[in-house]
Amino acid sequence: MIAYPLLAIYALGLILLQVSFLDSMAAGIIDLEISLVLVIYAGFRMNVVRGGILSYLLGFFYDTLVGAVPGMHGLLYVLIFAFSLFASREINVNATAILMLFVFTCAIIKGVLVLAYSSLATDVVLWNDIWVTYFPQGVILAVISPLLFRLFCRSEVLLNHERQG
Amino acid sequence: MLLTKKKLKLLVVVSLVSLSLSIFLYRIFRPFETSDLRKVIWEVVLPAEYLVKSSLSSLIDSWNRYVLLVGREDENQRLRKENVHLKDQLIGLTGQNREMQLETRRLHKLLGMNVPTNYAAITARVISRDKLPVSRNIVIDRGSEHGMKAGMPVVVEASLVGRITETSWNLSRVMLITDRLSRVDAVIQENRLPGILQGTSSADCILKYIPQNEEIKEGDAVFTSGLSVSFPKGLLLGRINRMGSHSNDLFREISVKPAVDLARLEEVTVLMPLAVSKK
Repeated sequence: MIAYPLLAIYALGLILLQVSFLDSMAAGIIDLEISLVLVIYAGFRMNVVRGGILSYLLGFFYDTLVGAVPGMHGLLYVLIFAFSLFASREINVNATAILMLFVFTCAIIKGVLVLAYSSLATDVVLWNDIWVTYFPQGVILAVISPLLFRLFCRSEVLLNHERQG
Repeated sequence: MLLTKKKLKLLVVVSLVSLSLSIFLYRIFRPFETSDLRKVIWEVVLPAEYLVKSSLSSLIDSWNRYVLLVGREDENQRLRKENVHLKDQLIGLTGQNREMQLETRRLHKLLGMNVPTNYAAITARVISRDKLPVSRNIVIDRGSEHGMKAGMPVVVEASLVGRITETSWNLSRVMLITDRLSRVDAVIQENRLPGILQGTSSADCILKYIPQNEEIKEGDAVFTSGLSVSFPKGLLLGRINRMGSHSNDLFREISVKPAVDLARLEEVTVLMPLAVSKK
């Protein structure tokens, strides 16, 4: 059971790193949403219960810290987790090009869903943000995703080691 | 009957999606209700985020200055000589002192503002900003322990910048007037035309429900009308900076530039209704 509190700490630490350190390094120009890549990693490689809980926790912490509508990223991350989980049966997740394309697709899908909700909730249309924000973010996340997958793999091994030790 | 591994996976995923969808729908109908868990995370993480960001920002500034100086030895020598002459004038104006002077000036402005009748003013520091393209919020270092409540107006000098939407014990989230969910009852100063100022999650807002045939000029000031109980009357919102006109539409498209640069807020004033502040 110790794995679950560890997952929460891991998720919170990652979101804190994302909204503070990475945001400062990117000078606030682009949002390096590495939590999205972790959700895809969880769908591809992790146990379904742990991956699902980790995805929801990441979304919950992200919503809390960035001020989105509470529960929005929780839902979006769980949906992307489910999409990744089922896609992992159909595609070769070890092929770098496919992984990059998948990450890019998920980043765009997430952006479309956020903007669709925004357009439904208000009459403000922000579809231009797909090109301005989500497209470059998707490209950058896709490029760094193979490296992030290696890092996540190592930290998962470390987490399992802590749990067993 | 035992479930197969495949069915179990499906069951877990369906349960998680249903649960997260239920939470999301629940929160849509109660957007300004802050759970204790959310408050605890705020209290722990947001100050840490502020600390990390401010340290990093100083570090990046120092590094940038260092990089700029590399390879400029000759220029440096010349500047050193010049510096001797200017040194006396610069005493007391080191970077830190300058920063403090600017801060003092800003705080004086905040303290010197005319607080609307029936309101008490509380100054707060901005410690975090939202990163999502679809929202414009800030977090300030005053919370329910200081009397903050959802709905209280937040101003800089005599200009409205937003309202409090969520509070934890020592922090509050402020929705800026540029947030897409923000609506403020407004009036154009020149001709007293009422409208609704709506955020667009970009730098400007739009003023809605102004009829086509009304005469409006670019540069006209837009103030809070005081028609709703949320905001006191007469707070400056911004100035009209662009006007569109489609003959088929009943109303004009009017863009308003906020009076305050909302991307650079450092300190703000929260207007607390006196009935609340006395409790």
